Amino acid sequence: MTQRTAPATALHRRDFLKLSAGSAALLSVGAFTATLAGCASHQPPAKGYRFLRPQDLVLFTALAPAVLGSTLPEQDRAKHIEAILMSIDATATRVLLPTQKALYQLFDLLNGGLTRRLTTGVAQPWAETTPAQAEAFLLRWQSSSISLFNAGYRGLIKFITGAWMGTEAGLKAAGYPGPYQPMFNVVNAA
Amino acid sequence: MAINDIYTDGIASGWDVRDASTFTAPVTLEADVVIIGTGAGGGTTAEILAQAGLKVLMLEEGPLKTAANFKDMNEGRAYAELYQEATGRATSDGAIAILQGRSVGGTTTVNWTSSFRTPPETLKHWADAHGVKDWSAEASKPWFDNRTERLGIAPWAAPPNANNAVLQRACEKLGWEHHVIPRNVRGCWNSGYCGYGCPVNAKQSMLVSTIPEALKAKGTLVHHLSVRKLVFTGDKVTSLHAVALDSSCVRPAGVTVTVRARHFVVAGGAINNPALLLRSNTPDPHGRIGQRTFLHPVVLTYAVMPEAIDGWYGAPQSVASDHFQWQGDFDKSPGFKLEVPPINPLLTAALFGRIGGELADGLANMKNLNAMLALVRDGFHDQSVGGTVKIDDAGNPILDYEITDYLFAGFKQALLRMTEAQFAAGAARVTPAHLDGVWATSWAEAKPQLEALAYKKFRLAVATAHIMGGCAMGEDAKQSVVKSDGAHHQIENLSVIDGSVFPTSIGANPQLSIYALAARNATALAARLKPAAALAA
Repeated sequence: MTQRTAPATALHRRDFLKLSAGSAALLSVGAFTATLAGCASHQPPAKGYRFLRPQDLVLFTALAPAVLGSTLPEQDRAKHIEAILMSIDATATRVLLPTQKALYQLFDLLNGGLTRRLTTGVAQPWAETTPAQAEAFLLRWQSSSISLFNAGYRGLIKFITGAWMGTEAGLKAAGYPGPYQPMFNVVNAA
Repeated sequence: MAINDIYTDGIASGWDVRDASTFTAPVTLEADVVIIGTGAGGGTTAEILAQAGLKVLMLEEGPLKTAANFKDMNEGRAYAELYQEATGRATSDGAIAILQGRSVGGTTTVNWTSSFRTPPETLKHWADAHGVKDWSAEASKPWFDNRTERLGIAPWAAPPNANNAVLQRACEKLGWEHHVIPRNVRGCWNSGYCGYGCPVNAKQSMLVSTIPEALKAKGTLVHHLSVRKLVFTGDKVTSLHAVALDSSCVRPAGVTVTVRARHFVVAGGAINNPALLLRSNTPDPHGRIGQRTFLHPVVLTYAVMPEAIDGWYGAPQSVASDHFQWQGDFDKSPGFKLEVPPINPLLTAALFGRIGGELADGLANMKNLNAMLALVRDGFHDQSVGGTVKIDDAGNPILDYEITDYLFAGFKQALLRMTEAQFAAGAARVTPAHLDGVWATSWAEAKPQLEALAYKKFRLAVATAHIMGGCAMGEDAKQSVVKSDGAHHQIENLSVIDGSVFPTSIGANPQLSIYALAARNATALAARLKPAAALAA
């Protein structure tokens, strides 16, 4: 978020604190819509993408190594992360509008300077975050007693893990031997 | 040996199959009956009506994908192309992930082939509590026999794969009821790729069975077409408005389609059917559209077995247990059916809920992984009234589904029993699909952990692949949307024929329940429409 949105963000911070005190049971990914709306920017997607904006790419680039740990090889890491980003983008393009709105609001919460510091405990922008810091944030949301954060944790890691397992390298990390050979060979024979 | 994908030859022989994404100008179509949706309900209905001599038009929002597209046997491709919202569909709060099909054949193209008759307990409950008539165990039997024959349904004759064998072994050790699962397959290769689209046409999905027969009987299929609105004049539907989707089946392509027909059959499944009826301002004097939407919410436990499981191969579901389904104190918690899911790597990892070292450990052990699942029977108690489908300003479906304490009590019972089962079958370690789940190495160690877990949304992983209800059937218009035969209570030429008419969940994987009821209702509809069609001809 840029400087000029700071007042709006502060307003939402108050709403957020009120929420965390009282109505945790009602919170969810969907509830991002109702409670933290307002800073969803109408910014176009990044070049080559249909949903993710430049700051969202930075966010997922920071989170993916923390989520995937040693299953993400060092070799060709940038290439693997690009495949993950493309896959997340494709999935996000295919969900219906209500979910798309909730996703942008989740991403904006994480990308806003003040909301990021408040909710994730991460002081610096995602571009400067280490995997250990990103992991600490994810575990904070994982163990939080606030359902909203549990929901955000599940959503973020499902995106990243699902995207990774949609690649050959990810499947290899899971020990998947590949398509059932007797059938694959036959149906792919000329 | 290249596999015949059925459609290439069929289209060459004159089948009327149209891809709406290629339309360049507005189109108006006419038919005796238009069927919206080509899944278990729509596909069954199409074959029966077309063979009765009616001019049938099938509309499908998703793409036409066939064996030719499935031969890569690739999970990521399947989820992107063949599932609602690329498997990103969920309840409005995000707490329950929803797997639902979206291509020609609907969910039958991607389901795991389990084919159960509606349990007699469920049928009796429908008659007693929901005013459903003429669908008792006796009345329905001929229709179940009929569909069993039509779709090659038989108990799986081969030995279960290692993943299903874990459940079988556990039930034998613990003295629990268990049975072999009937499957709708002919010439099955036992490969395990049902969820990605069958590459050899063995699964008798609507894609390869009823829809081709409807096309042979002069039916028309239009895919890549999203129906937006039914148009009413008085107490009749007179037309519908639809929009063509782009080739990727995501966005409107800008071309509209109008359809006129004598009769309209809504068969887009739970979630999509109520949304269409609500978008259309369908008469709903008692506010029943979208109410009582059921999910068979699923909870899971994972076991690392000492032996290799390779749960990605072999018939995905071949053993089930009803031990906790119909005996129990159902005032305290609902019954559930025990099964295993296939270890499809993407699905398994995405639902796993762990990161970093824990994820790496899980993936490293996936070869030895057994997962167990409980289908919780929702809708049979006043603390389980199901969810509600509503629409947003743009007409998109939104499903609110509250997980009550009653359901959480069922989830807890299910985690306990599944964990007990996995250890009885020899598991080295077991953990629940829960954010606080810790791997336990014995049943004695696991039990207190499960007793103490926080049974809360998001902490507990919950998913569904069975979306039912929302257009309930019954004879009382104050309680239901359609009559027991699928005819709308207020609109005379509108029927709903698919799983959205169930007034509760089934208590078993629902496809055969849909086939049988659809066959009965479509046959009655053909008889009702046929004299008039004959006159018009």
